[in-house]
Amino acid sequence: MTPVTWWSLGLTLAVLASLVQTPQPLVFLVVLAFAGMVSLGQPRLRRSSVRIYGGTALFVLVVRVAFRFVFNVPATSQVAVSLPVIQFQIFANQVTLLGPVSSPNLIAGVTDGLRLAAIILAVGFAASVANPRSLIKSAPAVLYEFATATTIALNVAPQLISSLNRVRRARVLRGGTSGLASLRGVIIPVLEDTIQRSLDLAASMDSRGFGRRGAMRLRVVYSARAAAGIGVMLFGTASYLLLASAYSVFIGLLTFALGLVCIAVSARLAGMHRVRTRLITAYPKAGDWLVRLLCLSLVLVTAVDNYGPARQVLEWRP
Amino acid sequence: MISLSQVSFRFQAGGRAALKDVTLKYSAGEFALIAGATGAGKSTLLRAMNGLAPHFTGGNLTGSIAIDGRDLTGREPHEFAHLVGYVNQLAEASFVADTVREELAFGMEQLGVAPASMVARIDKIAAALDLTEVLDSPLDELSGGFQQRVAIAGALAAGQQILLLDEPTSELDQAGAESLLALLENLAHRSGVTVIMAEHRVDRLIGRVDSLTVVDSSGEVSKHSDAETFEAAAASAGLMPATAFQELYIRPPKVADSDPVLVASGVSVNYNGSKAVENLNLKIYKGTVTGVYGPNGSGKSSLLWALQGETNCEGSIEFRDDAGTLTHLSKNLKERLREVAMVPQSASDLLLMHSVAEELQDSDHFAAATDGSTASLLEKLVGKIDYSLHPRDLSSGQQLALALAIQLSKGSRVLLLDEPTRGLDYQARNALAQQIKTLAESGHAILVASHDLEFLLGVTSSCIALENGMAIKAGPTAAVLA
Amino acid sequence: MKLARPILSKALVAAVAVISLTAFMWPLLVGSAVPDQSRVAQSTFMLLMPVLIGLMVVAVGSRELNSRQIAVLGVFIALNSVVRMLGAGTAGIETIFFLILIGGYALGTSFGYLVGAGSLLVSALLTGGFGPWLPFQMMAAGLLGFLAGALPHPKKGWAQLSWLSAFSLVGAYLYGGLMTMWNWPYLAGAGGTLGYVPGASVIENLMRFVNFELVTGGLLWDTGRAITTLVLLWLTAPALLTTLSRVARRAGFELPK
Repeated sequence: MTPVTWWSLGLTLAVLASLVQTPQPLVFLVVLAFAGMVSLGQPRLRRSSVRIYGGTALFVLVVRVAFRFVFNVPATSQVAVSLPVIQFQIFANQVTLLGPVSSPNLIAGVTDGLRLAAIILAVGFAASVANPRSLIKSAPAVLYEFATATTIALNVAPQLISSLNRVRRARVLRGGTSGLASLRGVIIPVLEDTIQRSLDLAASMDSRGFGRRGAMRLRVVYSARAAAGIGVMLFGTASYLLLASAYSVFIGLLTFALGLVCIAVSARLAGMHRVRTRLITAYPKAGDWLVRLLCLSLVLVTAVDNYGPARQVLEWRP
Repeated sequence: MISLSQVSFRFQAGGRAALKDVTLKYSAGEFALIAGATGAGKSTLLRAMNGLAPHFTGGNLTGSIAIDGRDLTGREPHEFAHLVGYVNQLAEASFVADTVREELAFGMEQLGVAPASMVARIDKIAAALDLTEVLDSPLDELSGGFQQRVAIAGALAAGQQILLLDEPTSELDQAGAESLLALLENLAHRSGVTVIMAEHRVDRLIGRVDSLTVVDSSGEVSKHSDAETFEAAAASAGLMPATAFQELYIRPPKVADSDPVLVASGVSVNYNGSKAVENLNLKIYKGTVTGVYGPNGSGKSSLLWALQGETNCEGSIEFRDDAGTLTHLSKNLKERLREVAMVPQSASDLLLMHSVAEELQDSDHFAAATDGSTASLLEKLVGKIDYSLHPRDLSSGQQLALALAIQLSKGSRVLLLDEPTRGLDYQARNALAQQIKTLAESGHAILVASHDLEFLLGVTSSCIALENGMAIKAGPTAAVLA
Repeated sequence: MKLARPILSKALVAAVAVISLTAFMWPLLVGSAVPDQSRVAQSTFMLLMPVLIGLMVVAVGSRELNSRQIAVLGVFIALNSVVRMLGAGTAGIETIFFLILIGGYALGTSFGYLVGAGSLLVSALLTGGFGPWLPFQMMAAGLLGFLAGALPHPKKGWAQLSWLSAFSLVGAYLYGGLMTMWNWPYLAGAGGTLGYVPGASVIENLMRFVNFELVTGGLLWDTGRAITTLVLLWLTAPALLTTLSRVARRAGFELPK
């Protein structure tokens, strides 16, 4: 499966985690994402992925629940855990800590913690199966220049590390110190080399044909700009709708989805310059399309099911 | 194939002409060499042939350039790109992608080649340049020689018929240069590509090329196609090594001086899990020049760093101090530098200040020497230079001399030089040999690590040959390097 | 960098910036007390942020970059990522910002944004810390770089350094504030003594946020960041700024007047 497909899967898991409202599906999603990361991830990255993503997810969950306990509003009913109340004054602020923790609060805390853990692990799963670096290669054509700069940076960085080491060693040869104070004496020669190197790089890029600009049909250009403009306006509206109390969540989500569509259309149009081509080593196969379709349907169904008009969470308040 | 007519180039209006009224032609399948001293216009001539001059370098170009009959004067580099491939001196610095395959595709992507043909062409050029096994390897894992081949492949992937190379052999050792030349000859004579390379060290190339173009410092360019005349033309332009190199040969030390000033026993250096240097024994004597010979990657640099006192090595390194006793190298940095000083591979790494004057001042200050002592050392090495210049604006020979002076001012008995002839033209190389001879005669012990066989033959009296970190031969230079 | 169609691009930049700030500060703005609303808002903004970054990258004119500018951008980002790794691991010692500020100041607002966003992205890719927080870090760092380019550029070197220093202090706390604001709902949740209260006034939530910052020591971290950036700036800015203005001319960036 192509990297884009894997990332769609990961993203779907994350979106599902953010849409569901009860803790049980979240537990399932957490386990699923973790299992996926461990079993399907590249073996070389397995240990570091588990450490980074698993560790962060665990940390978030623990902190979230701990916060619920420590910075609690003492409950009078449905007490799950009874803790003594601690009260004191700081700067004329009354601070209340601990106290009886109510079950709803506890469950809410655990749910929220699980939610973020699931999102983190979903991203971790995608990142360990399909290296994010390969995602940059599949970036839309409208971001080509930025993607190229990023790829250059990824490849130059290790070379720079050896440059920095070489220069630091040379400083020792000369009798200087190594440490933070020597940073200036090291960074500046390396920066000079860096700049020189970048110019050589640019010459090589130009020599290979970089910089050809094809003329785009005006109609396409205007449509792309219009679509982007509409998309941005939709995002702004969606932000407002999602935050304002008077509107149902579904409207906001819908507006957001429409905005995404507009931006996708705009990116597609803006990339139609027909000057550059791209080497495609792995074409998306039927399986890829199937999985992507599945992901999309899952997200749509869950969104509508949880927040759709049939089960309005919030009603219009005149 | 490519013809220039009355081409002149100036970097600044009214300034010196880098190229003056150049008219010449290169035909298909010709293996051409452009020679000239460093700083003469040979790189400029090369860059004029693919549009980089003037569009990328700045400056003013007059005259006309035609490729395959088509007039391309004044066009931007990307309009030359489907006809001319250009390879930089340092292949690594021109990479834009992660793997070999993507790097090869880059040029074709810019030219809008259809994805299906791209795949076919990549396979074809990889086969031609023996890169098929590494097509999916990350670029940073390849050796320098491979990287250079990838750069060449990338320049020719879209079927370009002209290849321009800027100083391709300067970083290579003997074996590497040999295989590159064989490759280029092949490309020219069997595949019909016009291969044009610019170099300043021409002695090992003259016998292999079809034509020699000499660029001198006044911008005059002359092309020679008769192989008999190459040597004479190069010699008259000052580009051939002085035959008097053998005069610099140092006589071996007398027996009375048989106490070594530096003794290394059982030295082993670990690098990234493997042994860069294994169980090496070495003795350096006062007033002599010892050589360490080996191809790139044989462990010469690691050995020198270990001798300098970098800590992660096994075995012992002992130094004979003024009293005559052998002690381990001092842990204190300042003292150690007074015992052993080193000039690393890229000498310019040692230069940190904004002007030569500042460097000299700092050096005097560190060595607690009188003002101007480093300056006088520098003058003895390379004559008078402008002290207000930024160190990076000096020529490689001058930078090396400055680095040498700075390290010498510390008064160390032992001097280690790592690949000092890299990037130097013949005059600078001769000057360096003279300097080394003078230093040896005044009592220093010098160790030179290099893959430049000729230089070691001319300058050192005894030598060890390294291969994969182990000394395979040791003894008088003439015997070891024969 | 000269932008084609400057007015439209500026409008786009402004619009995207405003929406991004909303995405960061939504706990202050959320209007309803129903938990679902907050949760959906939070998740939607998490999805929205990468899209906003893409829009911003285009809006600052990435498509007009020539090969020299791309190469300088690429190696600059690489240098910044390496510098970040040098300082990694120690609490509050964040070395990634001073180069973003210097780069933006010397080479303009667009370059500043691209260096900011690019540095966070590349260093995350190199160290493996690629998580849902990354788009927010990228946008915040990018905005910092952008604003650095918009600072006044007096002639005297010490005056330039003063402006940069002042901004680095403000910027360090701004960045910290934005990122903590993003963290806040995840760590403290709604309600409780330190959580946000959906539906309450902006002032009330702001007070709660300040309490949260104080209690979790976020301000300490921010102060560490501010000091590190300031020190590194003082050590390197004078020399770097001169080098970069040389580069700017050779690479064809248009210097801010």
